[in-house]
Amino acid sequence: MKHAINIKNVSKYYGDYRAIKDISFDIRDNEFFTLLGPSGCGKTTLLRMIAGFEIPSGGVIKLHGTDIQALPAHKRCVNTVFQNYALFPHMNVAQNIGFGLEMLKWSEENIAARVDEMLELVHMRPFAARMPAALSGGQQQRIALARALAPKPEVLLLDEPLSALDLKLRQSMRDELQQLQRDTGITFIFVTHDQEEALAMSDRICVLAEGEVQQLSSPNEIYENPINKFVADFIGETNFMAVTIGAVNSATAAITNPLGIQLNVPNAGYRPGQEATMSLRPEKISINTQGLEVNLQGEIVHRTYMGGYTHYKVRTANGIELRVSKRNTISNDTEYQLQQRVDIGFSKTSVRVLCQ
Amino acid sequence: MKKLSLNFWGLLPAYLVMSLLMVLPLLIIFYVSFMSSDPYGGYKAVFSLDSYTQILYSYDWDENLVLNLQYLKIIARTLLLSAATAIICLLISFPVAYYISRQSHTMKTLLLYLVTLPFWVSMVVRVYAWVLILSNDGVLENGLRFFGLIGDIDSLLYNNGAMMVGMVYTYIPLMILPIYASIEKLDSRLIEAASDLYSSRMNTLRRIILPLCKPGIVAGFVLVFVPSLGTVLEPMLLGGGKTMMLGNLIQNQFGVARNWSFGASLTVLLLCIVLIFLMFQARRTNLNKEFS
Amino acid sequence: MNISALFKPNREATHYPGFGAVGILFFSFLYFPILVIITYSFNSNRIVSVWQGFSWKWYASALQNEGLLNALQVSFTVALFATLIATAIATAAALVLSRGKNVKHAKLSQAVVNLPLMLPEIVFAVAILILFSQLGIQNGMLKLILAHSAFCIPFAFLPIRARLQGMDNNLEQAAQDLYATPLVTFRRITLPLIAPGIFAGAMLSFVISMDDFITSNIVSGGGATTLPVYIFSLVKQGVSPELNAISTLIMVASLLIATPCWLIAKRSR
Ligand SMILES: Nc1ncnc2c1ncn2[C@@H]1O[C@H](COP(=O)(O)OP(=O)(O)OP(=O)(O)O)[C@@H](O)[C@H]1O
Ligand SMILES: [Mg+2]
Repeated sequence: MKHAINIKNVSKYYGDYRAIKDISFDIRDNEFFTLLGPSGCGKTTLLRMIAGFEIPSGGVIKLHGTDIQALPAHKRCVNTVFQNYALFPHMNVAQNIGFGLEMLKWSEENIAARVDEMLELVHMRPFAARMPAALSGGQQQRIALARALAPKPEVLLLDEPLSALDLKLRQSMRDELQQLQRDTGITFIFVTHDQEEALAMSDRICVLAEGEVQQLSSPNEIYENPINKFVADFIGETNFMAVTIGAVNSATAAITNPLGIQLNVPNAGYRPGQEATMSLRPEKISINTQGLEVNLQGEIVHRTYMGGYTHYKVRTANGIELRVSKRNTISNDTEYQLQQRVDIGFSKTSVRVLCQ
Repeated sequence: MKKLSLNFWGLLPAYLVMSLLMVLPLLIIFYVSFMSSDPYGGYKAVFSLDSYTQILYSYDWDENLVLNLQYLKIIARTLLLSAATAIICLLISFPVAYYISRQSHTMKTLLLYLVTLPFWVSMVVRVYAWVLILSNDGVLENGLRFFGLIGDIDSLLYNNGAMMVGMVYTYIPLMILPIYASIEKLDSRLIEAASDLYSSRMNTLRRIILPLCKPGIVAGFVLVFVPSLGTVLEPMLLGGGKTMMLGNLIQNQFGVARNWSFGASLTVLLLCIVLIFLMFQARRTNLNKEFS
Repeated sequence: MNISALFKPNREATHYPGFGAVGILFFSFLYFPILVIITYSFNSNRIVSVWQGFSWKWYASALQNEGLLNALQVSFTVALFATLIATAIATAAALVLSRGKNVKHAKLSQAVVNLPLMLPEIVFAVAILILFSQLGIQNGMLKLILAHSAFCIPFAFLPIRARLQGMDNNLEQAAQDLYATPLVTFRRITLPLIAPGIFAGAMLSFVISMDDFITSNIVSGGGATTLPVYIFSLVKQGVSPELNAISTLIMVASLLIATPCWLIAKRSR
């Protein structure tokens, strides 16, 4: 199977500053692919290189197997939904959506039909004659989407398209985008710095930091098995503890940890005496529950009520503070009070040991 | 009440000066244009439309009115040369303004400074520079002859071309600045979006950039065209007095010809041309506003 | 300008090939005549277009030219008075139009202040000529000052108003909140903040007045010849090396006025 996009050894310099550092990965056909990373990590730069607005300083970008290096932006079968939408202010909604088709020299009837179809797709039929300035943010967003989808691109690039919307609208647009991707079967490359958005929508996520790929996997894999400390920290919340690798045999490694528990994890090439970090997600820890592998005593030192969840901070007997989150499944469930002594427990398989 | 009177006193001097030194004189001009001319100079306070008929007709030896295209020609030349000046300025200014807008910040400020700098230099000096360049045995002629590009030629000076060069040279900064301002306001992502939607550069220019820069282009056009209509200096120095424009004709009536009422009627005519042009522009820009 | 960058193929969507070349041609067009004047002002030959050798002598003779110095004095005096009058009137108008409350007919007032910008100058020149002759004003200096004051007002007005509009209204309210009376607010807050605008407006009207030809040429007489009118009379007599030197001196003076103005305007933006 040919990949939608191959990125091979791509790097980008702005003057002396290296915004993208020798990146290589593939994006599969028809997948919802997300570039996730903190501000300034190079997401937009990468996207602009795929779109053709920026020329890589080195490396090759292929679109369905062909090198697109020599193609200017207006000859690439790739369309972009811009972060601020970039709707042409002097054209109405229908003219905006039809612009790309006109440039591709579609016939007038075909353009009209396609524009109609697109308006239908984004539920904006009544707004065909409106000017962009007279649309709300969410409506502009839909038009930008329709405009980019109208020419049936092979790949659709979306640069933080939801960041300008309010929370409620963002959540509903999330679902719509996902549905749209499934309906059209077009490869989406979605840029965001919102991890929740990334986890919710993507088939695969590429986590970037400082111009380098940290991890590229499915959302579940990224969350459950982060490859390094950066990824574990950036995606979701977690408890970090500095640990040391103890005795090692071919199958397992013993981990010396500040909780003072007996812990063996599958050996992933650890050396004895190596420094590492242990990560334990707050929701993997439960309070006052029987039958868990590891049991510790502690005292509640902090409590934040979040509605569906309550976050606690529990200080264990050897002075470690652990974040614990508890789902409020039953109405008027027991709320633990500050200073209350509790038992906490978790399963050893929930623990991740990260070397970098 | 106190605030209002403060407003009143603040604006009073401006209103006084403008009504006494601008509006009143214009009314006098209007009045004089309907008086008959005095052969001894000035005007006679007798109502007459002669000064207006004089624009198109003159008396022959037998005191009959005959069509005289002499002045009409001058008016036509004025309109044509002014329009040509504005169009040439536009054709040069757009690429230049765009080019400047794409430079780094320091480069931009430097280039804008270079654009405005000649504007601070006296207009007479700037026009004189072209006299020096274009005159007989002047810099350009000698240069061209040196490279064997021309043999013996008539003077490069004293023709419509020389006048146009002078006018373009004088007024072009007035075109560049508003166009530059409108290009600066243009979000470059719109250009990228067009390119993303398969638009070639030419198409993007025609469909996106030019329409969005229209306010600047219109402003520049007005700023160049209106003063061009009243040009006086370039025809005198570069046109050699042979090729007059409306401004020179008017000036002559108040100078050597001493025919005030004719001069006044020509001034009213010039004023009307300007007003019609401005109204036309205003209508078009208003239409644009409604449209967007 | 980086010449080699012009020939490098550039695929950026916002790049238009050829525009850079037009830009370079344009700047050459803009500065070639100026360089020609400067160069030939140092030509020792009386025949302007034939280069003979380097010399300062035309500057020496220019600086001893009675007519030139007289004209300079007239221009300077006229420009000074016109600038003072125009700037004072423009400042008052700008303050009312951008800070006054419930200003009636603000649009009309704005148009009135900017009236001279909307007419070709020749119209204004002959109109005011007739006015002066009807009123019997003979004094050349007075005529020039009155005429220049009128057409300098919008040039003083625009930078001042731009400055006022760019200024945060809240500053004045903050001052009043801290118990400053309106007058104190004006003196301590508004005036210092719009000073660069007033300065820019004053300089602009000064230069506009110094440079004016059309109106001065028609209105002058009565023994008051301004610098541009005097230079014009020299140009009519034909090109001369002394004229080149005079022109160069004027350009240097313009540069000396323009640069600080520009720097101040840029910094205060
Ligand atoms: N035109 C440019 N010139 C110089 N440096 C640039 C340019 N564009 C981006 N950079 C730098 O490259 C780095 C990556 O920028 P990029 O815009 O790709 O970040 P991003 O991941 O999209 O961030 P954000 O989430 O804030 O949008 C940043 O450090 C930025 O400062
Ligand atoms: Mg970005």
